[in-house]
Amino acid sequence: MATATLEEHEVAHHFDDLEQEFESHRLGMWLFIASEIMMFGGLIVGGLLLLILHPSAFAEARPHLDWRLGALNTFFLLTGGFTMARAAAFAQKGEQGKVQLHLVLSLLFGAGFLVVKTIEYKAKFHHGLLPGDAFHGEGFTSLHAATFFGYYFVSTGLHALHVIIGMGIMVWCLLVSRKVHFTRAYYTPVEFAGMYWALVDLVWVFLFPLLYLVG
Amino acid sequence: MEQLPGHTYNFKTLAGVYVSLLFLAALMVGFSLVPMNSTNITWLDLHLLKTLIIFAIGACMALIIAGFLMGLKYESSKLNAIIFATNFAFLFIFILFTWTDLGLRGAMDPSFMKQINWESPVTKENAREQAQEAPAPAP
Repeated sequence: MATATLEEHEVAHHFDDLEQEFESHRLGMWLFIASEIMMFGGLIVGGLLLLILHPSAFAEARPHLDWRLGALNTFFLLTGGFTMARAAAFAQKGEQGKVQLHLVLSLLFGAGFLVVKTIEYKAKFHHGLLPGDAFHGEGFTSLHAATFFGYYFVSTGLHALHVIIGMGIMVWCLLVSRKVHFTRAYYTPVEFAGMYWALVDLVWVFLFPLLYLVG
Repeated sequence: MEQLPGHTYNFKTLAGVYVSLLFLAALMVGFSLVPMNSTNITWLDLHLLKTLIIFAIGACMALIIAGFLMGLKYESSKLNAIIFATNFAFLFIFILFTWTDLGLRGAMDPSFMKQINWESPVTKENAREQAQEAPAPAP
C-alpha cells in the first residue's frame, strides 16, 4: 500500500504531545492487564485448590484431555505472540505492508487455536464430559469429575473468549493500518494489541499444565 | 521525526524469546511424560516434585512473556512496573485468605460447622494424620 495516501496520526486535543499521549495509554493498558491478571489469577488459584483437594478427580479426568492438542494450541499462541511482536517492530519502521502481513499471520494462528479448541469441546460434548448435572461420563469413580469439567469449560471458555477479543483487536489494527501511517512516532495500536496477545499467552502457560499435564 | 519513548523491537531478541518459549513448552510436556511410578524413591513425593517443576517452568515462561513480549523489561515508567508487581502481591493475599479459610473454617466457632454442614478438607486431613501418628491406647 502506498504510504502517501495514509494519514499521519494527530495527537488528541487533551494531550500536550505524542509522548504524553503514549504514556497515558500505556498506563491505562497496564492497569487493564493488572485487572485481567487478578481475574485469571483467581481462576488459576481455584484450579490449584481443586487439584490439591481432589487429586483423584484430576487423575481420572486428565486422560480425557489430549496433551497433544494442548501442546499444538501452545504452539499457535506462542507463534501468534511472536508474529504480533514482529508486527509492532515493522510498525516502528513504518513498513505498513509487513505490519499487515504479520497481523494476518497472527489472526491465522488465533483461528488455529480456536479450531483445535472446537475439536476438543466437540469430543467432550460427545462423551458427556460436561459440567455439573449435565455430566454423564462413564467410568468415573470420583464425585468431583463433574467439578473438574466445570472448571475446564469455565477456564478454557473464558480464555478462548479473550482469544476471540484479541483477534477482533487485530482486525481493528488491520483497518487502522489502511488509514493511518504507522511510524516510530506512532505505533501504539499494534504495540498494545501485541501486549494483549502476550497476556493471552501468559494465562495459557499456566492453564495448559494445570489442565493437561499435572494430576 | 518525534519518537515515542517505547523500546525498539530487535529481531534477534524476539527470535531468541520465541525459541526459548518453545523449548520451555517442550520441556514442560517432556517432564509431564516422565513416569514416576517406575522409580524406587519413596522418601520424596515425586508427583509433587514433578508438579512443582512443571509450574516452575510455566513461571519462567510467564516471566519471559511479561519481560519481552509485554515489554516490562524495557518499561521506563516505574509506576507501570509497580502496578504489575502489586498485582501479584494482591494475588498472594487472595491465596492466603482462601487457604486460611479452607484450613481453619470452624476452628474459632465449632457451631459454624454444624450450621453449614461443611468440614474443612485440610483440617480433616490433619486430624487423620494425627490419629495415625498417635500411639495406640494401652489395652
